[in-house]
Amino acid sequence: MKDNSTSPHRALLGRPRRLFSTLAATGLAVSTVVVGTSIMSAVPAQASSSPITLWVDSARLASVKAWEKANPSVKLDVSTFDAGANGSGSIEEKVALANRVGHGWPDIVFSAEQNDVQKLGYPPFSFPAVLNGGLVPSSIIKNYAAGALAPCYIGTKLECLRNDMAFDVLWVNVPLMKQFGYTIPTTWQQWQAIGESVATNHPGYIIGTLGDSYSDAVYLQAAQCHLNDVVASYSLIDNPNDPNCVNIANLLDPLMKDGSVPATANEFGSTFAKQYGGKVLMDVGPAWYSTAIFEGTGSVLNSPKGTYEAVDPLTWAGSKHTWTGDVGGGLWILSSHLQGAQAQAAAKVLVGLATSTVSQDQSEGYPGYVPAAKSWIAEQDASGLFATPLAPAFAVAAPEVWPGWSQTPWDVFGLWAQNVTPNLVAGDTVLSQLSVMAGVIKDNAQSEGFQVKS
Amino acid sequence: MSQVPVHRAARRQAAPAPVAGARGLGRPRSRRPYRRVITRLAWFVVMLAFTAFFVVPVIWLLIAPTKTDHQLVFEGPFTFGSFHTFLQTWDALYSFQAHEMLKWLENSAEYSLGGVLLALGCAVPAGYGLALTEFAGRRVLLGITLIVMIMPFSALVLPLFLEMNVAHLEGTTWSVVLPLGFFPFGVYLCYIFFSSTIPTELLAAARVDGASEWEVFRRVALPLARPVVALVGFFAFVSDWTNFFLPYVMFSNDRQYPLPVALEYLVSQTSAFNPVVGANSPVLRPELAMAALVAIGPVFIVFLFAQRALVTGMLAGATKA
Amino acid sequence: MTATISLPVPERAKRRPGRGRAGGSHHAGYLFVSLYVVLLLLFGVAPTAYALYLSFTEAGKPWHWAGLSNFLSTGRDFRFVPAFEHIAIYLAIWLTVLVVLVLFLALMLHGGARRVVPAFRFLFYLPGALAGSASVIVWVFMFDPELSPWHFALALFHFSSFPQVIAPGHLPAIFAVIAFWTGAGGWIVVMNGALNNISDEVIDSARIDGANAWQLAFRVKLPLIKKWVVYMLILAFAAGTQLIVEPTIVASASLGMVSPFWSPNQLAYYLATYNDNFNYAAAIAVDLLFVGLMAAALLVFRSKLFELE
Repeated sequence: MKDNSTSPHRALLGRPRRLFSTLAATGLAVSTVVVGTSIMSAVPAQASSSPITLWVDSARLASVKAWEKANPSVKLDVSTFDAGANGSGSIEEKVALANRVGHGWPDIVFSAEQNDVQKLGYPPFSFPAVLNGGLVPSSIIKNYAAGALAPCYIGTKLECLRNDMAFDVLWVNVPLMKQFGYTIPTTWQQWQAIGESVATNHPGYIIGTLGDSYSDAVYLQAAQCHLNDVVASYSLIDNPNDPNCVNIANLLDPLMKDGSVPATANEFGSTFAKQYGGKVLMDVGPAWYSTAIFEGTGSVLNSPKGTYEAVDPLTWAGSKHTWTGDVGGGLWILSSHLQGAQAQAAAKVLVGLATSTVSQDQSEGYPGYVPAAKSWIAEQDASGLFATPLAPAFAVAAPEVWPGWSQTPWDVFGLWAQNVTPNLVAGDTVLSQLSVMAGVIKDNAQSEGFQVKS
Repeated sequence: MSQVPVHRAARRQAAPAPVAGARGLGRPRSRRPYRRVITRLAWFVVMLAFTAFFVVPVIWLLIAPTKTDHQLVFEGPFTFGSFHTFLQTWDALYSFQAHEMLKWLENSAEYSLGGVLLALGCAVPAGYGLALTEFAGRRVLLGITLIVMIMPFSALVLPLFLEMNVAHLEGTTWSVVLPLGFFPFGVYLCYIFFSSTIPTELLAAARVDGASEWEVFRRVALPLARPVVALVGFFAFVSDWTNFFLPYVMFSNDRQYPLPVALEYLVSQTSAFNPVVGANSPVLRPELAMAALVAIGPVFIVFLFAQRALVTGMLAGATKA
Repeated sequence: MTATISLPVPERAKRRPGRGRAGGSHHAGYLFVSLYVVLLLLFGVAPTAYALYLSFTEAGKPWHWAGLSNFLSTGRDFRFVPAFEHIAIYLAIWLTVLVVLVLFLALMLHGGARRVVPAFRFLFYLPGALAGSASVIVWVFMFDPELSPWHFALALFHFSSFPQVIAPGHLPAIFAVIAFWTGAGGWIVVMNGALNNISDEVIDSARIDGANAWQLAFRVKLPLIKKWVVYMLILAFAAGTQLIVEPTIVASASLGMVSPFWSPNQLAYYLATYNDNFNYAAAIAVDLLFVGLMAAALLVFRSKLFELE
């Protein structure tokens, strides 16, 4: 039964051969390790005079092509990828690998994840170039809407340019509101009252959603809830007992229970159009919901022209200042591994893509750069898709994004969707989930080296 | 022959127990036509139930491109759309980013073909060598093979990437084909096959006739190995064709993506799965379904051909001799 | 021409008298395996050794011995224990379902009419090509009670919405369903091939002795393909502990409702790529390797998989 050779002759021959193969394997393994580690320690700068490498997602290709057409002298090498969508971490992965071998970084990369700079800007990535040290003219930086560049700052260093803004406004179904006889609310409390009336008198209609991952920004950020507030470097305030958090939770819970703000309603769920088509009386959501959800042939609801309008964000009754949430908005990042002339050239391309009208006119969302935004919104309003022009509400909402809901190295939207939404679907209250959310944020923050305070 | 005494003992034990079919022991089957028909019927029902489980989603997938995105949601899962919509879906997918679908198909074919050829070229001789020749370290080799098969890929990402950089192969086809050629599962299949099927008498006879080891392999073993070559080739092909993590790590340029990476990219560019894409998503759910069909089409075709290549009987003849 | 797949049944060789390892020089053996050994060293041994090196050294400090600190740090990570809990439940469901149903279907195919068997085998294998992202679109519809062809089955569980179906407690079962759907076909093909190579003599003589279908299956067929079953168990166990594709698919399908570190392998990948900590990832990978090897060793030694007759 045994297959091993048993004669002494073969045993003698066998041993050195086994030894040899073991040595060979070890030698190869060790040499790979040695070479690998020596490569890791050398991180030279990028070579110059080559086409500028640009990584974008397919939605940005239109902007890139438009800009290329207007600037034919600049050579771009464009690749498409998922831009980190849904927290895939593709940018982090590629940068981590490139850091190990000393080459392979993109010169300019677009990120669809609002918090990517907060991840990439710290060691061990340390990828984005600092833009407000001369690479980008201060006039450009000044012309951004207030708060638009907040996700790009690490301390006082600006490390990206915002592509578009995603402030939340109140979307209203004008004919339906008229039909039901409601006035457009200006405060959260009025919004709640309408919701309770809708639940009794028009069941099946909704005034908001709690089933998507953006609910935390839409409601908690607008309420100034301190669950994810970075107050200093590596220092976080995470307080589920914050009265602001409790108040908004108490406002939402009856609405969730009576069905006017259901936990199973997710604008991007497969069956949203089927279940709620024609039944979305109001919704609190970002600017880009305009053509993504409400109007236009590519939208989820594809409503008849002139059905929806955007209204100023809701205020908390009795407070002096209105704050709103922020959902999305891409980032243009420049590589810090460029030097000299190459860096300057790439910075010019970055500025062009992020701020030029020719590029931003192709944008899906409201540009963060004010002059481009003016052109963009004029074009949107000229299309006449909405009941009233979007510009006034957008102009009001843009500077009202509450900065206390910080962009952090952990994906807050993901944490909400994974930990809170399933419980809401199962029937738990928003109030009960505040401590759940605080707990997961705390765990993630501490594992990233943050100090967490209440 | 050692199994038969077990049977006799089992029958003595089993006789009193109400095992299904126990009463049929010893009686000619022709006296029980009903039982046979019922058994046949039961067999078909069970098989069809399982077939439904496996196949219904694929049928859904086949029908999906004939419907618009709206119809997919609003109409039943098996309602047929229209051929016109099917053509529109194909057009949308085909024209996505300048016909990039074709490039992705081409890449998949290139990487898979290279991977399969390399895998067969290594696994077949290796399985033969492990099974039918003598050398020290055979068990060690088998053991190491098993160990590296079990190592999770998440830890191998970096070293593989570094190796390719050291060899200046980063971003080239070789960076994917070479690791794909390492197919330990195939080696095990070949090893088990050769160790059990090829009678050593045949090999001994050939050696006595003066054939070199290589000739013994080529003229005696290889012709008998057609079934396992086809099987290993097929499994290697499917494994290479559906491999995601390796090309995802090695390539940064979308022109080099094979279909699995391209599909992940397409999913991320569909507003239904990535809301931030917004309204002008060029890829909607019907296009994704069609992309999935394009991705699995070649596997179906290869499987159909592989079935024909795997013929029984050759083995039975050789071993009964 | 009936096309069936036949695979060798190792135990048969026991019955042939005088079979030995006669012949074949040592050198020839080395030559035959040489090409494979090169690839094995390059893409198996070297990366594994490097990963081991990473797991025992400090992140960012090459050659700094870290002892077990990487293992302790990852072990204390708040995501580590939940991930292993998840995978334990998943394995219990997955291994049972896979082995029982694969063997059941393989035996059914073996006992079936020759003409239809290739068709069924092909249909069972069909989903195997839909691995990964290609199947996201399929599952988002299959698991939605409003859209699925299986809505009657989902209704049995009182599911009325997609988020209910993918509630955290259901995830191990969901992943097992997807993994089975994708992976069973391949193993059925292998097992069916192994069964096909059992000589008709053995089966006929057992039938003559009066064995019914059950006894034929359990006392004759299964013992003869034992090595293949052990091999399947080893690989399925390893694949199960290293679950990464199915949670990613369902996360995509649900717009992020599944954690990116639900399974240990996902956590390893996340730490490697999103945190640029390949050392932690290697530590978790070594944990998984250890678990897989323990199971493999147990199975190999108990079944004498490496013994050759």
